[in-house]
Amino acid sequence: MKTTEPLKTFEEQGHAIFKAGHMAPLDELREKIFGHAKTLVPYKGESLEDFFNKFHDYGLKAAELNKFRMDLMAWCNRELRVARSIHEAFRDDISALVGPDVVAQKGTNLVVQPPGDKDQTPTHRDAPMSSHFEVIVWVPLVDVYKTKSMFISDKPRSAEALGRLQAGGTYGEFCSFIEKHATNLTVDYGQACFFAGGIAHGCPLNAETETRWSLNMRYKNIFSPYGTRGINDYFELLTLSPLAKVGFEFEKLEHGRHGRD
Amino acid sequence: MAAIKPKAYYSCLDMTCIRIAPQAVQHLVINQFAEKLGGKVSFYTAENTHTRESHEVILAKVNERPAVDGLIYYRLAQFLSPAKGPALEVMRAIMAAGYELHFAVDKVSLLKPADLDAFFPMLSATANAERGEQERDGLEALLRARPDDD
Repeated sequence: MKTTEPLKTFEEQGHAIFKAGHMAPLDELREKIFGHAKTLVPYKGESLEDFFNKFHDYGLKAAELNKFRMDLMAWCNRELRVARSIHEAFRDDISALVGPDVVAQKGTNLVVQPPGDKDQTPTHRDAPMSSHFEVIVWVPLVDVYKTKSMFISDKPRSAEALGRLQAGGTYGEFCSFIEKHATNLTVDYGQACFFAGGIAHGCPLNAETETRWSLNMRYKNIFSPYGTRGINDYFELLTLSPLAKVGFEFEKLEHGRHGRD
Repeated sequence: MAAIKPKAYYSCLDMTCIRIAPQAVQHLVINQFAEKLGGKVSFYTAENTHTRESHEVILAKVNERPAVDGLIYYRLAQFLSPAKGPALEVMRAIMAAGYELHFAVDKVSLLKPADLDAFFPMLSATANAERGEQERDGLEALLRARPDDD
């Protein structure tokens, strides 16, 4: 069942925190990622939560950490259906935003941010590279809070920052404005932050004592405008409504003769 | 145990975008994609300005029944005509002849005719997006060309 209150917040703020309607797909996904991640390091046998939260104890830095992350992402892309699992967990709310005809990001974005890691995502907006009509679903695999989390600005402030850029402001001024007004999200495992492409966000330096693990995934309606990314190298079809299925059947017949007279 | 024979592909360059993606770059992209597929390019070809919508060059090749597993196109856009939409009939003909269809830039692989059916919604969405962009570009060009009102 879709959750009305966060949808209202999303409309007002451009972002909101949603609770998974179905935990099983998310739990299974997290368990599988843990299962493979622990084979890539000299695993010390902690629990899943401890492994993720205390991952910095393994001491991977810079290139080594990046290789671990890239290897894990490549494995996720090969072996898991990450977009499908997240969609199943948050299906009703994703559908409430983008409708039933959904395309999803093909590749997995996994972020592992140990305390003190200076390679953090800078302040940015996903649009216009991402369409304004796609929703970004940010899924922490551990409870996140304060600087272990991401920061995000609301719709009015994101719009104001964009206006300043358009009026000739520098990127540095844009970042300063957003970072001054943004909020570090508190999100428990089992929840996700949904936000629109125009919303400015980023990651602070993790000054807590735990490592952040998070996934981010993009969903949009197959018929809504696309951003500047390649459509087919970036997206794959996830679900179609009965009407769209019938519509495509007829469109196929009409295109079969290479033309739409 | 007999070694697995690597797959062989025809490579189909896109001559409409060689200013942005020169022939040498297209070869690199396609060859790398072929390697990912566990194969190699054995021959390359391309439609010319007169045949890019009819796909006559490649259809003639397919009729010769070359000993390859499939065709690797540089990009899906080679099958999208602004006026006519996707050249689904041509794609079907190639696949009906038993050949795989791959698009290197788009990272799309269609191994059997049923894959083409399943891919059709994305093909249609891509055609619509390309058409929308071209219409927008055309409108912008018109607006730029409009004489000043004063």
